Amino acid sequence: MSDDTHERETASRIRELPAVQARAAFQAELKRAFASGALPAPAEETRTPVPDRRRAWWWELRPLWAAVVLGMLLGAGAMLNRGPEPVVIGHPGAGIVHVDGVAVDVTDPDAWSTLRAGSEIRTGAEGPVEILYAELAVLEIAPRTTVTLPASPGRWLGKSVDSRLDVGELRFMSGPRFVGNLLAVTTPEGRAEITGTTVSVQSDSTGTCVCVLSGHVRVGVDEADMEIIPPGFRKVMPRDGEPHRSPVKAMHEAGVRRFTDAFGETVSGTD
Amino acid sequence: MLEEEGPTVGSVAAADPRLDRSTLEGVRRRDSAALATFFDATFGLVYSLAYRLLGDPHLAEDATQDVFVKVHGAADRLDVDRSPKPWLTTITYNVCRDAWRKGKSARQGLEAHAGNTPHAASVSATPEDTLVESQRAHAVQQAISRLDEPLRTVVVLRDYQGCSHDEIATLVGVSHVAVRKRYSRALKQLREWLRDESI
Repeated sequence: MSDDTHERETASRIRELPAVQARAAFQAELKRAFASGALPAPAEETRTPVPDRRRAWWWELRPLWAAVVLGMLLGAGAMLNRGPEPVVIGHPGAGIVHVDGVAVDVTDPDAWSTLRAGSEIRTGAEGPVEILYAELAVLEIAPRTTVTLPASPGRWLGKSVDSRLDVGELRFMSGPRFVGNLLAVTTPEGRAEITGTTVSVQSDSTGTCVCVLSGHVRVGVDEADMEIIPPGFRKVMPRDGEPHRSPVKAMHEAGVRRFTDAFGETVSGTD
Repeated sequence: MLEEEGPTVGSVAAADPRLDRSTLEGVRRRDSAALATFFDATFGLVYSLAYRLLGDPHLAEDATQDVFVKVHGAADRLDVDRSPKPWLTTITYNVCRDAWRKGKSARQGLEAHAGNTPHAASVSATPEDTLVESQRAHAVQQAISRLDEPLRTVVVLRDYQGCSHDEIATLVGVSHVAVRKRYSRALKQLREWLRDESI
């Protein structure tokens, strides 16, 4: 027997179904209502009514509370994420240093109270200033230098920080907690990206020189010029001329060695 | 696949002489006598279709009541120049579809009303014939109710209600081809189930 025949047979069984008999009482009642127009409203989906409870006043302010809680969480997160503040650990013992344009007597105990990450420091002729970011790094700002201090790298976020060297020399030595952070020092001529090393960045009217004593530093006048400078070498970026690489000069190496010898244990937290 | 045939309406009269123009005009005016006549002529169509689609006499009663409520509300828009059957079929299908969406399934009624299909008794048959016919009808209805709703809709509208594939396509909102495929699948499935029951 073909499929069509089977289908016809099945269809015929459905067509032969007898009329369905409704309950007489239901039919009669519905007819009376239909003819008279006394029909109930169409069945609608019944919904559980929401009780009209008067909420406490604080419940109505829940967006405000949510914002407050969110703000507190963000604030707490920012506090926990914040790295160490810069602390002056060495200065020439006399003279004037400008912090954010304000002249400060280095002998005044409160002289450095305004110093914070991001401050602009302008040193005089007297001697260098050393600044510690606890266990992260030590910066030595040479005499006659103008530098903008980097922000303190965050514990989890904001681990890349920037510093600007307008003129003079900045020596940098990383500590044990600096791993994973990046300090970018920008000069008028170029940029050095430091990820954990000992380095000296000098800038004067002739150009910028980045001397690497340990670790590796990416240095260049722009992104296309960026190259990794190995230990014992320096990259010179003249203001008028082509950048080039050469061995670190003995004079610069001696200055950085003196710096590392003096503050190596301090930045390691073993001082 | 089964070829298209002219609709053969088993339990529902295709055209009822009671639904003449004057009656339909009376329905439009919501005249009580016309409404009563209209009800008598169409109640069987509505209730049977609702029952075949929903598979439960109580759900069918609810659906039938809803249909007549809607008909009464829209009586003034009744087209007196056409048979009201397609209109009623559409309303009934839509009400049943709403019932499905509310979770009222034909399968709910299968167990609760097993052997309780409210078929009209045949006045000329013997008691034994009546019993056999009733059991057979019940088995067929159970098989229809086991179908998925899209398949059940097509087969009921086609074979029980006598709608054409095109009418079903318009009513259900699918293509003619889809209706034919569903119809064929429904018949094939029904045949297997009924064969298992030796019907």
